[in-house]
Amino acid sequence: MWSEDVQTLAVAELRELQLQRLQALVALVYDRVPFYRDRLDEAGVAPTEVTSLDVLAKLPLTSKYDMREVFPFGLFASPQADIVEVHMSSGTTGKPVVGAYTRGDLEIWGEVMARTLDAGGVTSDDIVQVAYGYGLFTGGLGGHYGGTTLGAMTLPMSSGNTFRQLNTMTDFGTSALLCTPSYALFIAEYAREQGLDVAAGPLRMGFFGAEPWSEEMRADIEAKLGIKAYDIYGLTELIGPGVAAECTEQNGLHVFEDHFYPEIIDSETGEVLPAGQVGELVLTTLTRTGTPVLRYRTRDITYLIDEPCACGRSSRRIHRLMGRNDDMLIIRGVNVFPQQVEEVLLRVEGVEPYYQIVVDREGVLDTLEVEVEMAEALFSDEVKVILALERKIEHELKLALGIAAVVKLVNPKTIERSEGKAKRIVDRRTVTAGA
Amino acid sequence: MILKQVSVFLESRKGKLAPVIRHLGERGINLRALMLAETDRFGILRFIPDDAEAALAAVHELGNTARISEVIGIEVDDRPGGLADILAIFDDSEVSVQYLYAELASGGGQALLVLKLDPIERAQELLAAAGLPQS
Repeated sequence: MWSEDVQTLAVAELRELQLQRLQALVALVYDRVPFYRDRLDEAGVAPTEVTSLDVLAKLPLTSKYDMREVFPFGLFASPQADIVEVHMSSGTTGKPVVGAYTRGDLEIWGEVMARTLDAGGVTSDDIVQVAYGYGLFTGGLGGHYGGTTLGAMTLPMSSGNTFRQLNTMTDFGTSALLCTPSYALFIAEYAREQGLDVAAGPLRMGFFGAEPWSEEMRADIEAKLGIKAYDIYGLTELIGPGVAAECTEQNGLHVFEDHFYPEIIDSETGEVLPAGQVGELVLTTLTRTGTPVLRYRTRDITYLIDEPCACGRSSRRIHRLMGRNDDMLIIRGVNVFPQQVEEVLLRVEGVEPYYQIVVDREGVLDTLEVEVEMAEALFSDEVKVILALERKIEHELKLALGIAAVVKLVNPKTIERSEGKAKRIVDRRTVTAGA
Repeated sequence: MILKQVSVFLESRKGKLAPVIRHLGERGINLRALMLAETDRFGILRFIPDDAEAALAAVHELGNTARISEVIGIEVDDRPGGLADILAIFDDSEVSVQYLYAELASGGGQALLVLKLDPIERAQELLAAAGLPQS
């Protein structure tokens, strides 16, 4: 097991290590990050008062919106000269969230991603194909650092160009694949069309994350590619992939607790919930110094599993994600906010601000349909005029979202009006919680 | 002659057409000619009612998007080549046919042809020059 000593640390020792690191973290952000100092002062907690892990519950929570407000450098806890790499969450209507890495942070990232791959059985003898996007997105480079840290031969393919992915996989004898689960299925279907039997080849493991997926989808991927498919978890705000990952037991994702401290809270009250109770996952970086994060509200819904695992890792696990509690959609691995759709629609003259986003899954790929009301100002007695309008909106949506959407015009007043939070999203994808 | 046509937007979904037609009947509106244009995403119902304003109001009562537009109506003899003769009037002009439909003769040997012509003013001049009645 990679870093076996720390991954199998006795629970009491792990808690002691976490406390020491939490104390150092709070002292660091209080000293270096005005944003956190103000919030800690507001909460009335001094760094010296962090005498047990229970004190964590008194520390302020951090949201994505908080992080956007201090874009781009407001959360840096290290001098800019010490920052060697930056990643960003995919753009939304607001500003993106910036994650900055010192050299030490990159080592941590490589370490936790090496653990991720090792947990599924990757060794330095393996050939790792990274088909997550490389760039500001954390998937590609995160997977890359994991592969190289582990000493595996790492292929920086990035996403797309499926023909080449398959050729490379065949030519090199790739044994581990990293990509989104939907792309894994896409690769499988493409291989079948090309008459390639990937399942008969050397590919043995897949590490899939960055979008919600189900046990059913896992079974499908495993059957079609002839592999073991592992669920991995992470987010740009924390570090990228490498926050938690499944072991070969495939029964919950081990949180790499010496680097990331997990809590589950009640989304409404903020109260910390015990293991086994479903709520929102909150994470704290214990070791990062570029952009450390205190109690980040992930909006991901899951629960903690605080039972020994047959694999021997002493860390707690999170159950496969059960949903999200905000309005962000992840469609084909891309973050989509209803506000982005709204912005596009409202740029088109005559469009009323009533719309509904319908997400579904056809075969293996997510589909995005935007229902727009046919206002009098848009209407024409000529079919071609309306078709041109639909194409124009679809084009604008593609530019803004980065993924294709189908526009469906509906009768006026058929989309539900609301004084409060409008129901903008109908998500028909069935992502079940699994067993 | 210029006719007032009512067009109604219809979602591409079963059960969207019949209520409109029924409601027009309930409001005492008679339809002289009608046509349903459909795509895989939506439909447009176009018709020539005896009272366009009343018809528009009736459609709006149902909450559908609708509008009145001007089209040209031509009475043609119900015989082979009748339509071809009309279209020939525009052969060498800039006038183009956006769409057309017809009310088939209900006795009397004449059919009502409904044309969306663009530009409509030029179309009218050509029709007048060809000796077709303007009213």
